[in-house]
Amino acid sequence: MKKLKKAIKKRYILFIITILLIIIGFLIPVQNSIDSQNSDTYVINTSAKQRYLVKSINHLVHLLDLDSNQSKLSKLNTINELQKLVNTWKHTHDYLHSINIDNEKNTVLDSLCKVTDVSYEKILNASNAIINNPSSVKDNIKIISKNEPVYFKNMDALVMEYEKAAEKHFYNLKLTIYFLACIPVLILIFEFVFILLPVFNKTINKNDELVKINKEIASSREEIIKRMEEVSKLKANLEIQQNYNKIFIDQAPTAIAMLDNNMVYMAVSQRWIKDYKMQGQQIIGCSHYDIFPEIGEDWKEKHRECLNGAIDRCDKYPFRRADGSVQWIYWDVRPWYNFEGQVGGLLMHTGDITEIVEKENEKTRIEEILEKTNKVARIGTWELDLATDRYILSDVACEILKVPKDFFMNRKINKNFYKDGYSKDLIIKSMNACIDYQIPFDLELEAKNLEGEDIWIREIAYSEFEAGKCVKVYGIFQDITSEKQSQNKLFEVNNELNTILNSGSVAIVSTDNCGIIKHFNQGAELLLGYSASEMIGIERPEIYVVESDIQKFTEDIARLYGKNPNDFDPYLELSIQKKSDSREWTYIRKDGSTVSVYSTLTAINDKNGKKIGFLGVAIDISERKAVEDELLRKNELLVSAEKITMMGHWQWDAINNKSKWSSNLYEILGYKEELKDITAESYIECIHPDDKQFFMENLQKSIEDKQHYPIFHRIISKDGKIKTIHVLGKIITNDEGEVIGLIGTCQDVTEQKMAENKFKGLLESAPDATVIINEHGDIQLINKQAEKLFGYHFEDLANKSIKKLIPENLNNNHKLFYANNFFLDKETIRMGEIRELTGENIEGKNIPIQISLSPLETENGLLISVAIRDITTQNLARLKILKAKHDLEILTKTLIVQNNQLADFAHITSHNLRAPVSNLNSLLNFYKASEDNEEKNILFEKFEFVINHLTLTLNTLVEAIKTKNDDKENLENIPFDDVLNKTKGVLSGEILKTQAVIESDFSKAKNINFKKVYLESIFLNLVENAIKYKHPDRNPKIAIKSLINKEGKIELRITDNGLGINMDRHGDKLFGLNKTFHRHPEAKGVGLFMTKTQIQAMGGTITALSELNKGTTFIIIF
Amino acid sequence: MKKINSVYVIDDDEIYQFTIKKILKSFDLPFEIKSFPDGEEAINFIDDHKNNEAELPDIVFLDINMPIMDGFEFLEEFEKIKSDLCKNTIVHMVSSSVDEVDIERAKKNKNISSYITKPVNPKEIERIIKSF
Repeated sequence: MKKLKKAIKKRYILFIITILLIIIGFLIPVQNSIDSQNSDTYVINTSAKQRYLVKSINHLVHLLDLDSNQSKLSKLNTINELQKLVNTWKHTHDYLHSINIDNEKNTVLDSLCKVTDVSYEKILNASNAIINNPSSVKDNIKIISKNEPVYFKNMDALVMEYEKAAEKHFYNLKLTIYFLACIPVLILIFEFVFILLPVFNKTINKNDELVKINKEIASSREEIIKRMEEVSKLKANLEIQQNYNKIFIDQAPTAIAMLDNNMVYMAVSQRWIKDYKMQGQQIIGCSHYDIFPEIGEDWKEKHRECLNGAIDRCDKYPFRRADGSVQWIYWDVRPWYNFEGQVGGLLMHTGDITEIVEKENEKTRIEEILEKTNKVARIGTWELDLATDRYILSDVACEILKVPKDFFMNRKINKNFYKDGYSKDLIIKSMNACIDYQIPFDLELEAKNLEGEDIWIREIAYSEFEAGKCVKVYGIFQDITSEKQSQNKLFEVNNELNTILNSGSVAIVSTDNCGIIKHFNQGAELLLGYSASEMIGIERPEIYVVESDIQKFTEDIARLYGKNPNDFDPYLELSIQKKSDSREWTYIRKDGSTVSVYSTLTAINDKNGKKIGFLGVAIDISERKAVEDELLRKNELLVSAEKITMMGHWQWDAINNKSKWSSNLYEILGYKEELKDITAESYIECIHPDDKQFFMENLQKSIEDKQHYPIFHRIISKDGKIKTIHVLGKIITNDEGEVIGLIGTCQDVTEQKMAENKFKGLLESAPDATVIINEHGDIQLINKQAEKLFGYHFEDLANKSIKKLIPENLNNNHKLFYANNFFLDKETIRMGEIRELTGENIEGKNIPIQISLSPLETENGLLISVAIRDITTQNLARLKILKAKHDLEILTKTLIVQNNQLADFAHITSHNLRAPVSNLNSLLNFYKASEDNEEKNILFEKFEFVINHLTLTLNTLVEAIKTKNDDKENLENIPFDDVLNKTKGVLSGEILKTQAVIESDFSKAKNINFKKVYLESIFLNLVENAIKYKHPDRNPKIAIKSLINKEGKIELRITDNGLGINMDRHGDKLFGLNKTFHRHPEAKGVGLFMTKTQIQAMGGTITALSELNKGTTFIIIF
Repeated sequence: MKKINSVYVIDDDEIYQFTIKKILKSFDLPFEIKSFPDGEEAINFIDDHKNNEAELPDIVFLDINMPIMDGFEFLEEFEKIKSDLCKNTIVHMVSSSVDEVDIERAKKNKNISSYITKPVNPKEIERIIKSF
């Protein structure tokens, strides 16, 4: 547009110059022609006047001649008058003659003049003669009268000739004018065609461009609005999505983390934090490798591959943590893609399966142990699938039954393995009950293996039901044959022994070969309540024996010797076998009560070994059995207790150096219980070499002091395990006070020690300084980090108050002190809560710290673990973040303001350009339709008006853009007074004219850092407005003052008493472009627009308070 | 088509006034065209001639953005005196504004018959005049 304007301007100047030249070109020849015409007229008039002069001369001459009586004076007057006439006539004649000679060079006129000169000379001479000699009038009057007609005739011809000359001049003038008229017309046509017409075309083209731009602006604006709405929706959706994503990630039940391309955490789930024990740590924004420094180069390489699009999965892997612990994890690491489809970082999904893996390992271990145990204990397992009626036997089970491993066995075949009778019946009955009613069983049964050998098995079974129906029975076989045999043998030996030892109270009954009681001793009487007389002679003792026992005895003996129990005489068989049978029997007393006895049946042979009878020796074992049961129970309890507490007891006979150990102590030491003749050395050899000396010293000291000192020491058990043992003991002395032995316990405290060591290890490996205090606030333990942080060694702080780590001036209020008092007032500070405090190191330097308290339940009572973190770096980082946040907020505010300004500007641009462009369109349509030149000229003037208006608007907008984009550099410290004085100078004319009074008070803020040109413009606009829109009834009064407002900013108030503005009506558009509020001819609505733009560009604001007919106050906050 | 006696053009844009007048005159109909540079002058004139049927407008072409009193303010004032007028008047809002807010506000105003965007199309004006 500037170019166009410049082009129009140039052409206009050329056009005006041309017109001026034409006018000047016109004026000169026309003026000459007019002068020539005036000269011709004058000459013609003068020529005509000559006739009159000659006539007058002739008249005066005749007057002198006729009136001879006139007075002398009168004559003299007439002569003088004649003289004058003659002089005038002569002078005129000379003039006419000279005109012709000087200018015309007309030969005809020259000839006529010469002809006229003859009569002229004659009349002149005659007239001069009369003047000189009035008396010669008579003579000369004739000459005059004679030459007068000639003169007249010549003069007429001369006049005629002059007229012809004048006409010729006039004709020449016309030609000149026509010629001159043609030249400008040609010039104008030339200029119109070659100068103005291109401008018109340019203007029209420009107009078309503007129309097009306008349409594009409108469509762009619609597009922008549409896009902005879409962006707003997308933003809202994105925010919702982000919130959902945040909740999703945060509350995901698995460990998920989202990292960016630099492996910096963007989001993590709570499970992640829990799995990796990061509670209370700032993770977001931290590098993955900073959080897990233990990650090796191999994993980093995998991460880099994933960042290139790979997916890395692993089901199980031991993650060795920095503290030395192993965490079993699985993972799925894959890249995530941003909206552009590029890798934005990594998504990590991991799981801590340490517990599962440990359980699996434990299970495997247990299974291995079980398998070994089964082999050792000869326990086999079996499983019966009822659907297929097939047994599945373990290897051991196959070994017990001596069947091949692929042996097929169903229920029917299985029954055949059991010994007919009791065992078979019992197993059938029990199996049925197990299958039908899910009743498990645990039986000891007699059976035969496939090779026909008698075996005792212990069988335990459980059934499994599905939908109320048994589908599976499973259980174990244990080969207890040897145990049974051993047991029986033991009983026999015991019974024999009892028979010998307790014969007095032993019931002895003997029979002959026929079974007739021959001997029934007192012990038997006492035991059974029968008298000997009652019993002796009775055949067979079944009377006091339970039938089932006899049956069992028979069966047992038959089975023992492989006989058929039916029609079998066990006594005979025992005799043949030269064996005795000892077993428990249940005897029936005379009063019907029963008594448990242990009876040994032995054949009585004669010297030839022939059976002559049978001896039964029985002892009442009811009490013993009860005591045994009780002992067994107590022993089991002790064993259980020892097993549970991992403790064993011991006795040491110091005199004979013999020791006794409980079975659990054997187990602890790794000895087999078969070890006999144990001594002190048996124990000492298990002690760890490093602890041996210490142990011996302690033992020696205990013996010397006759007081055992508890001791912890390590042993290497026989199975190679290192264990920590806690030994408690008691010295036993004799009556003389001599030490004769020790009794005590050994407890395996390996796990506790390991836990303690683990705790210490954890304490040392903790990234934070940790101080452990007791209930009095005394320091019990600190780790290396604490020593490093505070500069003390543990020895310096052991059992010292924690106040030592707190600045003295903060001691009474310090939260660490509260930790000290935690035991008294648990509400003082919550456990686990993180607080920021100040600590003091050994040099007395204050350290910003963050503490977290945790309770520690120990054997010695509750302790407090105080985790202390030096947050000096953190604080610095936080300050940096806060600053960055502050800067960001400022930037955001600026962007919002700029965005709003941009929106306002877009609105202004679209609106204020639409109006003139639409006018151009309308005018253009008229112009195209018009055929009338005059109308076209009018339209062209309108075009000019609109283009000027458009140009002004565009210039204003361009200036506004420049102002908006102006930076805040190159500010000057400007005194308000200087600017006001300059404004007064510029407006001095208006101030004088309106008698405006301007008062100022810049005492509160004299200067301002601002762009000088803007401040001058602002002052000029506002003061000029105050004068321009003055109230008609009063002189303008303008008060300008500066002040510092509550926010500490400089504020400028410009108050006038002018027309005021209806703020309710125009308040919102007061500073709008082309907005006017008064019918003032010079109001264009640009000043306040530019003022606001300039102020906003410098970061300030402008507002106005106004009331109609009272005045306006503009408030500028810089 | 009823007879139109008077048409008001209320607009501060003198070029627009020139063009609309030219268009109106091109219909060669015997109505008088009055123009006002702002709403206040127009409303004052109407108020002064509320009983003079010949002077009151049959049709008003009303701009939005004007000094002193804009188009919407004019309509508020017009609403107040409308019942006192001896003639029904049809108001067409004519503006270069394409602001949705302005258009919606105009649509909601019961006194506005249509919203015309500048530059005006002579055929649109002819349709308005002919459909009167």
